[in-house]
Amino acid sequence: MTDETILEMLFARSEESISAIDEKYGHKCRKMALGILGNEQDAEECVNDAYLGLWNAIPPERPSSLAAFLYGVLRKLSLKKYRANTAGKRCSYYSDALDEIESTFASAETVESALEGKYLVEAMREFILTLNEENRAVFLRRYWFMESCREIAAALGTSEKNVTVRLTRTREKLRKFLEERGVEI
Amino acid sequence: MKAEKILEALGEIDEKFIEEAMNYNMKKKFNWKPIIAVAACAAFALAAIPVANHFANNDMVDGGTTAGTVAPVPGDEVDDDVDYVAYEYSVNKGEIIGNHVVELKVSKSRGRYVIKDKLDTQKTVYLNGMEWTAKYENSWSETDYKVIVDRYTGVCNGRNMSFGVNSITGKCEFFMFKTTGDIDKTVKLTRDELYEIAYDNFLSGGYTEDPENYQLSDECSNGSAGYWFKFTRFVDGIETSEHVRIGLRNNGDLYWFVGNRIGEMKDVDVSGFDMDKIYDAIEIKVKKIYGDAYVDFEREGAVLRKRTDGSYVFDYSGHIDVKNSYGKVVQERCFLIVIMD
Repeated sequence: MTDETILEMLFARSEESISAIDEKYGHKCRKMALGILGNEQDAEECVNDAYLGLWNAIPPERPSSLAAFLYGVLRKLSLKKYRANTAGKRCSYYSDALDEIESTFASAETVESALEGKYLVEAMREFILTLNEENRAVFLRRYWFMESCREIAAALGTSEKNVTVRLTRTREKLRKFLEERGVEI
Repeated sequence: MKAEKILEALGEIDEKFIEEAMNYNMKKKFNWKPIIAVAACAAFALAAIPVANHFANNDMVDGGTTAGTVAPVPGDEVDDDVDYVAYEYSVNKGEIIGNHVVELKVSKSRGRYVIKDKLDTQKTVYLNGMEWTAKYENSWSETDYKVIVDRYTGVCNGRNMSFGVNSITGKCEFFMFKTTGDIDKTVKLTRDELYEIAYDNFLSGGYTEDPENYQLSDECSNGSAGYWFKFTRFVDGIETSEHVRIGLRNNGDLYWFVGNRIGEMKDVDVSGFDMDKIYDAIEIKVKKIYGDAYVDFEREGAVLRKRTDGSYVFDYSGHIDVKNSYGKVVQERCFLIVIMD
Protein backbone atom coordinates (compact mmCIF):
# COMPACT_ATOMS: atom_id res chain seq x y z
CA MET A 1 0.00 0.00 0.00
CA THR A 2 1.38 3.39 -0.91
CA ASP A 3 1.90 6.18 1.59
CA GLU A 4 -0.54 8.27 -0.40
CA THR A 5 -3.23 5.65 0.08
CA ILE A 6 -2.52 5.47 3.78
CA LEU A 7 -2.73 9.24 4.02
CA GLU A 8 -6.09 9.17 2.26
CA MET A 9 -7.25 6.54 4.74
CA LEU A 10 -6.09 8.71 7.61
CA PHE A 11 -7.95 11.66 6.18
CA ALA A 12 -11.01 9.45 5.83
CA ARG A 13 -10.52 8.50 9.50
CA SER A 14 -10.29 4.85 8.60
CA GLU A 15 -8.89 2.85 11.48
CA GLU A 16 -7.46 0.40 8.99
CA SER A 17 -4.87 3.04 8.25
CA ILE A 18 -3.18 2.24 11.54
CA SER A 19 -2.99 -1.44 10.64
CA ALA A 20 -1.57 -0.46 7.29
CA ILE A 21 1.03 1.76 8.92
CA ASP A 22 1.95 -0.98 11.35
CA GLU A 23 2.21 -3.46 8.53
CA LYS A 24 4.47 -1.18 6.58
CA TYR A 25 6.55 0.57 9.22
CA GLY A 26 5.93 -1.37 12.44
CA HIS A 27 9.10 -3.41 12.37
CA LYS A 28 11.37 -0.47 11.71
CA CYS A 29 9.56 1.60 14.35
CA ARG A 30 9.95 -1.09 17.00
CA LYS A 31 13.58 -1.52 16.12
CA MET A 32 14.18 2.20 16.38
CA ALA A 33 12.32 2.58 19.68
CA LEU A 34 14.13 -0.44 21.05
CA GLY A 35 17.42 1.10 20.01
CA ILE A 36 16.64 4.15 22.11
CA LEU A 37 14.91 2.54 25.06
CA GLY A 38 16.52 -0.89 25.26
CA ASN A 39 13.26 -2.33 26.53
CA GLU A 40 10.73 -4.12 24.35
CA GLN A 41 7.71 -3.22 26.42
CA ASP A 42 8.58 0.46 26.48
CA ALA A 43 9.38 0.34 22.78
CA GLU A 44 6.00 -1.18 21.97
CA GLU A 45 4.29 1.45 24.10
CA CYS A 46 6.10 4.25 22.30
CA VAL A 47 5.27 2.81 18.90
CA ASN A 48 1.60 2.70 19.82
CA ASP A 49 1.81 6.26 21.13
CA ALA A 50 3.44 7.29 17.87
CA TYR A 51 0.58 5.76 15.90
CA LEU A 52 -1.85 7.65 18.10
CA GLY A 53 0.18 10.80 17.57
CA LEU A 54 0.01 10.25 13.84
CA TRP A 55 -3.73 9.63 14.01
CA ASN A 56 -4.25 12.87 15.90
CA ALA A 57 -1.92 14.91 13.72
CA ILE A 58 -3.23 13.75 10.33
CA PRO A 59 -5.41 15.53 9.41
CA PRO A 60 -4.85 18.46 9.36
CA GLU A 61 -1.16 17.69 8.74
CA ARG A 62 -0.27 16.18 5.39
CA PRO A 63 3.40 15.27 5.63
CA SER A 64 5.40 14.98 2.45
CA SER A 65 6.98 11.84 3.82
CA LEU A 66 4.79 9.67 5.99
CA ALA A 67 7.73 7.52 7.08
CA ALA A 68 9.94 10.40 8.11
CA PHE A 69 7.02 12.03 9.90
CA LEU A 70 6.22 8.84 11.77
CA TYR A 71 9.84 8.18 12.69
CA GLY A 72 10.15 11.79 13.84
CA VAL A 73 7.17 11.45 16.16
CA LEU A 74 8.43 8.12 17.41
CA ARG A 75 11.92 9.43 18.03
CA LYS A 76 10.65 12.31 20.14
CA LEU A 77 8.36 10.05 22.15
CA SER A 78 11.10 7.51 22.67
CA LEU A 79 13.59 10.13 23.84
CA LYS A 80 10.99 11.49 26.20
CA LYS A 81 10.38 8.04 27.56
CA TYR A 82 14.09 7.44 27.82
CA ARG A 83 14.53 10.54 29.93
CA ALA A 84 11.66 9.50 32.16
CA ASN A 85 13.05 6.01 32.55
CA THR A 86 16.69 6.68 33.10
CA ALA A 87 18.17 8.35 36.05
CA GLY A 88 21.77 7.45 35.71
CA LYS A 89 21.33 4.02 34.23
CA ARG A 90 22.10 3.55 30.59
CA CYS A 91 21.19 0.50 28.67
CA SER A 92 20.53 1.07 24.99
CA TYR A 93 22.00 2.11 21.64
CA TYR A 94 20.87 5.61 22.52
CA SER A 95 22.99 5.46 25.65
CA ASP A 96 25.94 4.41 23.53
CA ALA A 97 25.23 7.24 21.12
CA LEU A 98 25.16 9.69 24.00
CA ASP A 99 28.48 8.39 25.28
CA GLU A 100 30.06 8.75 21.88
CA ILE A 101 28.90 12.34 21.48
CA GLU A 102 29.91 13.21 25.00
CA SER A 103 33.37 11.83 24.48
CA THR A 104 33.81 14.27 21.61
CA PHE A 105 32.68 17.30 23.59
CA ALA A 106 34.42 18.08 26.83
CA SER A 107 32.13 20.48 28.60
CA ALA A 108 28.43 20.05 28.92
CA GLU A 109 27.54 23.45 30.25
CA THR A 110 29.23 25.39 27.48
CA VAL A 111 27.27 23.79 24.74
CA GLU A 112 24.04 24.13 26.60
CA SER A 113 24.52 27.76 27.35
CA ALA A 114 25.85 28.76 23.96
CA LEU A 115 23.65 26.76 21.71
CA GLU A 116 20.23 26.53 23.13
CA GLY A 117 16.99 25.81 21.38
CA LYS A 118 16.66 27.01 17.85
CA TYR A 119 20.27 28.03 17.44
CA LEU A 120 21.46 24.52 18.08
CA VAL A 121 18.84 23.15 15.73
CA GLU A 122 19.97 25.54 13.01
CA ALA A 123 23.58 24.62 13.57
CA MET A 124 22.81 20.92 13.27
CA ARG A 125 20.82 21.54 10.09
CA GLU A 126 23.77 23.40 8.62
CA PHE A 127 26.16 20.72 9.71
CA ILE A 128 24.15 17.98 8.05
CA LEU A 129 24.41 19.88 4.78
CA THR A 130 28.19 19.86 4.98
CA LEU A 131 28.32 16.05 4.97
CA ASN A 132 28.43 14.04 1.83
CA GLU A 133 25.66 11.55 1.16
CA GLU A 134 27.52 8.55 2.52
CA ASN A 135 28.67 10.12 5.74
CA ARG A 136 25.27 11.69 6.24
CA ALA A 137 23.57 8.32 5.93
CA VAL A 138 25.98 6.74 8.40
CA PHE A 139 25.72 9.64 10.83
CA LEU A 140 21.93 9.78 10.76
CA ARG A 141 21.47 6.05 11.00
CA ARG A 142 23.66 6.12 14.10
CA TYR A 143 22.40 9.26 15.82
CA TRP A 144 18.92 9.69 14.40
CA PHE A 145 17.75 6.09 14.06
CA MET A 146 20.07 4.88 16.85
CA GLU A 147 21.18 1.87 14.90
CA SER A 148 24.28 0.02 16.00
CA CYS A 149 27.44 0.19 13.90
CA ARG A 150 26.96 -3.43 12.95
CA GLU A 151 23.42 -2.78 11.74
CA ILE A 152 24.55 0.24 9.76
CA ALA A 153 27.36 -1.70 8.15
CA ALA A 154 24.99 -4.48 7.16
CA ALA A 155 22.39 -2.04 5.88
CA LEU A 156 24.79 0.01 3.81
CA GLY A 157 26.84 -2.85 2.52
CA THR A 158 30.11 -1.88 4.13
CA SER A 159 32.28 -3.00 7.01
CA GLU A 160 31.72 -2.18 10.66
CA LYS A 161 35.20 -0.71 10.77
CA ASN A 162 34.36 1.61 7.92
CA VAL A 163 31.28 2.81 9.78
CA THR A 164 33.21 3.38 13.00
CA VAL A 165 35.90 5.39 11.24
CA ARG A 166 33.33 7.49 9.39
CA LEU A 167 31.51 8.21 12.64
CA THR A 168 34.66 9.22 14.46
CA ARG A 169 35.62 11.61 11.69
CA THR A 170 32.13 13.03 11.47
CA ARG A 171 31.95 13.64 15.21
CA GLU A 172 35.30 15.40 15.04
CA LYS A 173 34.03 17.44 12.13
CA LEU A 174 30.95 18.35 14.17
CA ARG A 175 33.12 19.48 17.05
CA LYS A 176 35.15 21.73 14.75
CA PHE A 177 32.02 22.96 13.04
CA LEU A 178 30.53 24.09 16.33
CA GLU A 179 33.82 25.60 17.42
CA GLU A 180 33.97 27.66 14.24
CA ARG A 181 30.61 29.08 15.12
CA GLY A 182 32.00 30.43 18.31
CA VAL A 183 31.00 27.61 20.50
CA GLU A 184 33.55 26.78 23.08
CA ILE A 185 33.69 23.03 23.36
CA MET B 1 23.39 17.39 29.08
CA LYS B 2 25.22 18.41 25.92
CA ALA B 3 24.99 15.12 24.10
CA GLU B 4 21.25 14.90 24.64
CA LYS B 5 20.80 18.45 23.43
CA ILE B 6 22.76 17.72 20.31
CA LEU B 7 20.90 14.50 19.58
CA GLU B 8 17.62 16.25 20.22
CA ALA B 9 18.56 19.06 17.86
CA LEU B 10 19.47 16.47 15.29
CA GLY B 11 15.88 15.31 15.47
CA GLU B 12 14.76 18.58 13.89
CA ILE B 13 16.60 18.22 10.60
CA ASP B 14 14.83 18.18 7.28
CA GLU B 15 12.76 15.06 6.60
CA LYS B 16 14.39 14.60 3.24
CA PHE B 17 17.65 13.67 4.94
CA ILE B 18 15.82 11.07 7.00
CA GLU B 19 14.43 9.52 3.85
CA GLU B 20 17.83 9.69 2.25
CA ALA B 21 19.46 7.93 5.18
CA MET B 22 16.76 5.25 5.18
CA ASN B 23 17.22 4.48 1.53
CA TYR B 24 20.89 5.10 1.00
CA ASN B 25 22.98 2.20 -0.18
CA MET B 26 26.72 2.41 -0.54
CA LYS B 27 26.75 -0.66 -2.66
CA LYS B 28 25.26 1.15 -5.61
CA LYS B 29 28.59 2.87 -6.04
CA PHE B 30 30.51 -0.32 -6.11
CA ASN B 31 32.07 -1.25 -9.40
CA TRP B 32 31.88 -4.99 -9.60
CA LYS B 33 34.47 -6.40 -11.86
CA PRO B 34 33.71 -9.33 -14.11
CA ILE B 35 36.16 -11.57 -12.32
CA ILE B 36 34.27 -11.11 -9.10
CA ALA B 37 31.05 -12.00 -10.84
CA VAL B 38 32.57 -15.16 -12.26
CA ALA B 39 33.99 -16.16 -8.90
CA ALA B 40 30.69 -15.46 -7.23
CA CYS B 41 28.82 -17.50 -9.80
CA ALA B 42 31.13 -20.38 -9.06
CA ALA B 43 30.53 -19.92 -5.36
CA PHE B 44 26.84 -19.80 -6.01
CA ALA B 45 27.00 -23.01 -7.96
CA LEU B 46 28.81 -24.69 -5.09
CA ALA B 47 26.35 -23.29 -2.61
CA ALA B 48 23.46 -24.57 -4.68
CA ILE B 49 24.58 -28.17 -4.38
CA PRO B 50 23.40 -28.73 -0.78
CA VAL B 51 20.22 -26.87 -1.61
CA ALA B 52 19.72 -29.06 -4.61
CA ASN B 53 20.30 -32.13 -2.50
CA HIS B 54 17.83 -30.85 0.02
CA PHE B 55 15.15 -30.50 -2.62
CA ALA B 56 16.03 -33.81 -4.14
CA ASN B 57 15.20 -35.40 -0.82
CA ASN B 58 12.12 -33.36 -0.09
CA ASP B 59 9.16 -33.04 -2.39
CA MET B 60 7.63 -30.26 -0.40
CA VAL B 61 9.47 -27.05 0.13
CA ASP B 62 8.85 -24.87 3.14
CA GLY B 63 5.88 -22.67 2.53
CA GLY B 64 3.93 -25.28 0.70
CA THR B 65 5.40 -24.77 -2.70
CA THR B 66 5.56 -27.95 -4.63
CA ALA B 67 9.05 -28.70 -5.68
CA GLY B 68 9.62 -30.58 -8.84
CA THR B 69 13.23 -31.41 -9.35
CA VAL B 70 16.64 -30.51 -8.23
CA ALA B 71 17.46 -26.91 -8.67
CA PRO B 72 19.72 -26.30 -11.60
CA VAL B 73 22.91 -24.40 -11.39
CA PRO B 74 24.20 -22.00 -13.97
CA GLY B 75 25.19 -23.94 -17.01
CA ASP B 76 22.63 -26.71 -16.60
CA GLU B 77 20.09 -27.46 -19.29
CA VAL B 78 16.64 -26.46 -18.13
CA ASP B 79 13.62 -28.51 -19.01
CA ASP B 80 10.72 -26.19 -19.66
CA ASP B 81 8.21 -28.71 -18.39
CA VAL B 82 9.79 -28.95 -15.00
CA ASP B 83 8.07 -27.37 -12.05
CA TYR B 84 10.01 -24.70 -10.27
CA VAL B 85 11.93 -25.17 -7.11
CA ALA B 86 11.72 -22.60 -4.42
CA TYR B 87 13.99 -21.84 -1.60
CA GLU B 88 13.18 -19.65 1.35
CA TYR B 89 15.38 -17.21 3.08
CA SER B 90 14.78 -15.95 6.54
CA VAL B 91 13.39 -12.48 6.18
CA ASN B 92 11.13 -10.84 8.66
CA LYS B 93 7.92 -9.38 7.37
CA GLY B 94 8.77 -6.13 9.06
CA GLU B 95 11.79 -5.77 6.90
CA ILE B 96 9.59 -5.46 3.89
CA ILE B 97 8.02 -2.10 3.33
CA GLY B 98 4.93 -2.55 1.25
CA ASN B 99 5.84 -4.03 -2.06
CA HIS B 100 9.27 -2.57 -1.91
CA VAL B 101 12.03 -4.92 -1.06
CA VAL B 102 14.02 -2.45 0.87
CA GLU B 103 16.65 -4.76 2.10
CA LEU B 104 16.92 -8.44 2.49
CA LYS B 105 19.53 -9.70 4.82
CA VAL B 106 19.84 -13.10 3.36
CA SER B 107 21.10 -15.95 5.41
CA LYS B 108 23.10 -18.88 4.12
CA SER B 109 25.87 -16.54 3.01
CA ARG B 110 23.94 -15.61 -0.05
CA GLY B 111 24.90 -11.99 -0.07
CA ARG B 112 22.48 -9.17 0.07
CA TYR B 113 20.33 -7.23 -2.29
CA VAL B 114 18.90 -3.80 -2.07
CA ILE B 115 16.10 -2.90 -4.39
CA LYS B 116 13.92 0.14 -4.54
CA ASP B 117 11.30 1.68 -6.73
CA LYS B 118 9.17 -1.20 -7.84
CA LEU B 119 7.91 0.51 -10.96
CA ASP B 120 11.32 0.94 -12.42
CA THR B 121 11.55 -1.69 -15.07
CA GLN B 122 15.23 -2.29 -14.92
CA LYS B 123 17.37 -2.44 -11.87
CA THR B 124 20.84 -3.53 -11.19
CA VAL B 125 20.84 -6.05 -8.43
CA TYR B 126 23.77 -7.64 -6.75
CA LEU B 127 23.29 -11.15 -5.59
CA ASN B 128 26.17 -13.04 -4.19
CA GLY B 129 28.50 -10.87 -6.17
CA MET B 130 26.70 -11.45 -9.43
CA GLU B 131 25.31 -8.47 -11.22
CA TRP B 132 21.78 -8.96 -12.39
CA THR B 133 19.57 -7.00 -14.60
CA ALA B 134 16.40 -7.31 -12.63
CA LYS B 135 12.86 -6.40 -13.46
CA TYR B 136 10.12 -5.96 -10.94
CA GLU B 137 7.28 -8.36 -11.43
CA ASN B 138 4.15 -9.07 -9.59
CA SER B 139 3.35 -12.69 -9.92
CA TRP B 140 0.63 -15.02 -9.00
CA SER B 141 1.11 -18.69 -8.47
CA GLU B 142 -2.00 -20.73 -8.93
CA THR B 143 -0.57 -24.00 -7.73
CA ASP B 144 0.25 -22.31 -4.50
CA TYR B 145 -3.11 -20.71 -4.16
CA LYS B 146 -3.31 -17.03 -3.66
CA VAL B 147 0.20 -16.49 -2.59
CA ILE B 148 1.12 -13.27 -4.18
CA VAL B 149 4.76 -12.85 -4.61
CA ASP B 150 6.21 -9.51 -5.42
CA ARG B 151 9.33 -10.61 -6.98
CA TYR B 152 12.22 -9.63 -9.08
CA THR B 153 13.32 -11.69 -11.99
CA GLY B 154 16.78 -11.35 -13.26
CA VAL B 155 19.08 -12.82 -15.77
CA CYS B 156 22.42 -14.09 -14.70
CA ASN B 157 24.67 -15.92 -17.08
CA GLY B 158 21.76 -16.17 -19.46
CA ARG B 159 19.61 -17.95 -16.94
CA ASN B 160 16.33 -16.67 -15.61
CA MET B 161 16.23 -16.49 -11.87
CA SER B 162 13.94 -14.76 -9.51
CA PHE B 163 13.43 -13.96 -5.90
CA GLY B 164 10.86 -12.06 -4.00
CA VAL B 165 8.66 -11.65 -1.03
CA ASN B 166 5.70 -13.81 -0.31
CA SER B 167 3.27 -11.22 0.90
CA ILE B 168 1.31 -13.71 2.93
CA THR B 169 4.15 -15.20 4.88
CA GLY B 170 6.36 -12.17 4.69
CA LYS B 171 9.24 -14.40 3.81
CA CYS B 172 11.53 -14.03 0.90
CA GLU B 173 11.27 -16.81 -1.57
CA PHE B 174 13.97 -17.50 -4.02
CA PHE B 175 13.08 -19.23 -7.19
CA MET B 176 16.05 -21.04 -8.54
CA PHE B 177 14.73 -20.74 -12.03
CA LYS B 178 11.64 -19.83 -13.89
CA THR B 179 9.88 -22.47 -15.88
CA THR B 180 6.61 -23.05 -17.57
CA GLY B 181 3.54 -23.77 -15.55
CA ASP B 182 1.67 -21.56 -13.22
CA ILE B 183 4.56 -19.37 -12.43
CA ASP B 184 4.31 -18.28 -16.03
CA LYS B 185 1.28 -16.31 -14.96
CA THR B 186 3.81 -13.72 -14.01
CA VAL B 187 3.17 -10.36 -15.54
CA LYS B 188 5.78 -10.21 -18.19
CA LEU B 189 5.18 -6.80 -19.62
CA THR B 190 7.33 -3.87 -18.80
CA ARG B 191 5.70 -0.67 -17.82
CA ASP B 192 6.28 0.84 -21.26
CA GLU B 193 4.83 -2.19 -22.99
CA LEU B 194 1.78 -2.06 -20.80
CA TYR B 195 1.43 1.64 -21.49
CA GLU B 196 1.43 0.99 -25.20
CA ILE B 197 -1.09 -1.83 -24.96
CA ALA B 198 -3.33 0.22 -22.72
CA TYR B 199 -3.28 3.09 -25.16
CA ASP B 200 -3.93 0.93 -28.22
CA ASN B 201 -6.72 -0.87 -26.44
CA PHE B 202 -8.31 2.33 -25.40
CA LEU B 203 -8.33 3.76 -28.90
CA SER B 204 -9.75 0.64 -30.47
CA GLY B 205 -11.78 -0.70 -27.60
CA GLY B 206 -14.94 1.31 -27.96
CA TYR B 207 -14.95 2.17 -24.32
CA THR B 208 -16.23 5.59 -25.08
CA GLU B 209 -17.65 7.54 -27.99
CA ASP B 210 -15.13 10.32 -27.77
CA PRO B 211 -11.69 8.82 -27.12
CA GLU B 212 -10.10 11.97 -28.51
CA ASN B 213 -11.22 13.79 -25.39
CA TYR B 214 -9.39 11.41 -23.12
CA GLN B 215 -5.87 11.80 -21.91
CA LEU B 216 -3.74 8.95 -20.77
CA SER B 217 -2.10 9.55 -17.46
CA ASP B 218 1.58 8.88 -17.41
CA GLU B 219 1.21 7.34 -14.01
CA CYS B 220 1.07 3.59 -13.80
CA SER B 221 -0.70 2.46 -10.68
CA ASN B 222 -0.40 -0.82 -8.93
CA GLY B 223 -3.43 -1.92 -7.00
CA SER B 224 -4.75 -5.19 -5.76
CA ALA B 225 -6.14 -5.83 -9.22
CA GLY B 226 -2.78 -5.37 -10.85
CA TYR B 227 -1.19 -2.62 -12.85
CA TRP B 228 -3.33 -0.15 -14.67
CA PHE B 229 -3.28 3.10 -16.56
CA LYS B 230 -5.98 5.67 -16.34
CA PHE B 231 -7.59 7.60 -19.18
CA THR B 232 -9.35 10.69 -17.96
CA ARG B 233 -11.95 12.62 -19.91
CA PHE B 234 -11.50 16.32 -20.51
CA VAL B 235 -14.33 18.58 -21.63
CA ASP B 236 -13.26 21.96 -22.97
CA GLY B 237 -9.91 21.44 -21.31
CA ILE B 238 -11.45 20.72 -17.94
CA GLU B 239 -10.81 17.38 -16.31
CA THR B 240 -13.90 15.41 -15.46
CA SER B 241 -14.29 12.50 -13.13
CA GLU B 242 -15.00 10.15 -16.00
CA HIS B 243 -12.27 7.73 -16.71
CA VAL B 244 -11.32 4.37 -18.11
CA ARG B 245 -8.69 2.20 -16.60
CA ILE B 246 -6.86 -0.46 -18.50
CA GLY B 247 -4.32 -2.76 -17.03
CA LEU B 248 -3.12 -6.15 -16.11
CA ARG B 249 -4.49 -8.27 -13.38
CA ASN B 250 -2.07 -9.99 -11.09
CA ASN B 251 -2.64 -13.19 -13.01
CA GLY B 252 -1.42 -11.52 -16.17
CA ASP B 253 -4.80 -11.04 -17.88
CA LEU B 254 -5.49 -7.76 -19.59
CA TYR B 255 -8.56 -6.08 -18.22
CA TRP B 256 -10.34 -2.79 -18.39
CA PHE B 257 -12.44 -1.04 -15.89
CA VAL B 258 -14.92 1.69 -16.55
CA GLY B 259 -15.40 4.32 -13.94
CA ASN B 260 -18.02 6.94 -13.39
CA ARG B 261 -20.51 6.08 -16.07
CA ILE B 262 -18.51 6.65 -19.19
CA GLY B 263 -20.42 8.17 -22.06
CA GLU B 264 -24.00 7.10 -22.15
CA MET B 265 -23.51 4.37 -19.60
CA LYS B 266 -26.22 4.59 -17.02
CA ASP B 267 -27.33 2.63 -14.04
CA VAL B 268 -30.09 0.27 -14.95
CA ASP B 269 -33.29 -0.47 -13.15
CA VAL B 270 -32.63 -4.04 -12.08
CA SER B 271 -36.26 -4.91 -11.47
CA GLY B 272 -36.46 -6.46 -14.93
CA PHE B 273 -33.49 -8.74 -14.38
CA ASP B 274 -33.15 -11.98 -12.57
CA MET B 275 -30.34 -10.81 -10.35
CA ASP B 276 -29.91 -14.22 -8.74
CA LYS B 277 -29.02 -15.68 -12.11
CA ILE B 278 -26.56 -12.89 -12.69
CA TYR B 279 -24.99 -13.45 -9.31
CA ASP B 280 -24.82 -17.18 -10.00
CA ALA B 281 -23.12 -16.56 -13.32
CA ILE B 282 -20.61 -14.35 -11.63
CA GLU B 283 -19.98 -16.86 -8.89
CA ILE B 284 -19.23 -19.48 -11.50
CA LYS B 285 -16.72 -17.11 -13.02
CA VAL B 286 -15.26 -16.38 -9.64
CA LYS B 287 -14.90 -20.07 -8.91
CA LYS B 288 -13.20 -20.53 -12.21
CA ILE B 289 -10.68 -17.91 -11.30
CA TYR B 290 -10.19 -18.82 -7.69
CA GLY B 291 -10.85 -22.54 -7.80
CA ASP B 292 -11.11 -24.38 -4.52
CA ALA B 293 -9.70 -21.43 -2.71
CA TYR B 294 -13.01 -19.68 -3.20
CA VAL B 295 -14.79 -19.25 0.08
CA ASP B 296 -17.33 -16.53 -0.07
CA PHE B 297 -18.59 -13.92 -2.43
CA GLU B 298 -20.45 -10.86 -1.25
CA ARG B 299 -23.47 -9.93 -3.29
CA GLU B 300 -23.30 -6.33 -2.44
CA GLY B 301 -21.95 -3.25 -4.04
CA ALA B 302 -22.62 -4.35 -7.58
CA VAL B 303 -24.08 -2.01 -10.15
CA LEU B 304 -25.74 -2.93 -13.41
CA ARG B 305 -25.12 -0.48 -16.20
CA LYS B 306 -25.95 -0.13 -19.83
CA ARG B 307 -23.25 0.65 -22.31
CA THR B 308 -23.51 2.74 -25.42
CA ASP B 309 -23.46 -0.38 -27.60
CA GLY B 310 -26.58 -1.69 -25.88
CA SER B 311 -24.87 -4.36 -23.81
CA TYR B 312 -25.04 -4.46 -20.04
CA VAL B 313 -22.16 -4.32 -17.67
CA PHE B 314 -22.25 -5.77 -14.23
CA ASP B 315 -19.71 -3.70 -12.48
CA TYR B 316 -18.73 -5.39 -9.28
CA SER B 317 -16.21 -4.10 -6.86
CA GLY B 318 -15.86 -6.12 -3.74
CA HIS B 319 -13.98 -8.66 -1.80
CA ILE B 320 -13.71 -12.36 -2.18
CA ASP B 321 -12.43 -14.48 0.64
CA VAL B 322 -9.91 -17.01 -0.43
CA LYS B 323 -7.64 -19.34 1.43
CA ASN B 324 -3.98 -19.37 0.72
CA SER B 325 -1.89 -22.49 0.84
CA TYR B 326 -1.08 -21.81 4.45
CA GLY B 327 -4.73 -22.11 5.37
CA LYS B 328 -5.14 -18.43 6.08
CA VAL B 329 -8.21 -16.70 4.73
CA VAL B 330 -7.20 -13.60 2.88
CA GLN B 331 -9.41 -11.13 1.14
CA GLU B 332 -8.79 -10.35 -2.46
CA ARG B 333 -10.38 -7.29 -3.90
CA CYS B 334 -11.60 -7.76 -7.40
CA PHE B 335 -13.39 -6.00 -10.18
CA LEU B 336 -15.64 -8.12 -12.28
CA ILE B 337 -17.30 -6.93 -15.41
CA VAL B 338 -19.81 -9.14 -17.11
CA ILE B 339 -21.04 -8.19 -20.52
CA MET B 340 -24.49 -9.59 -21.14
CA ASP B 341 -26.21 -10.04 -24.46
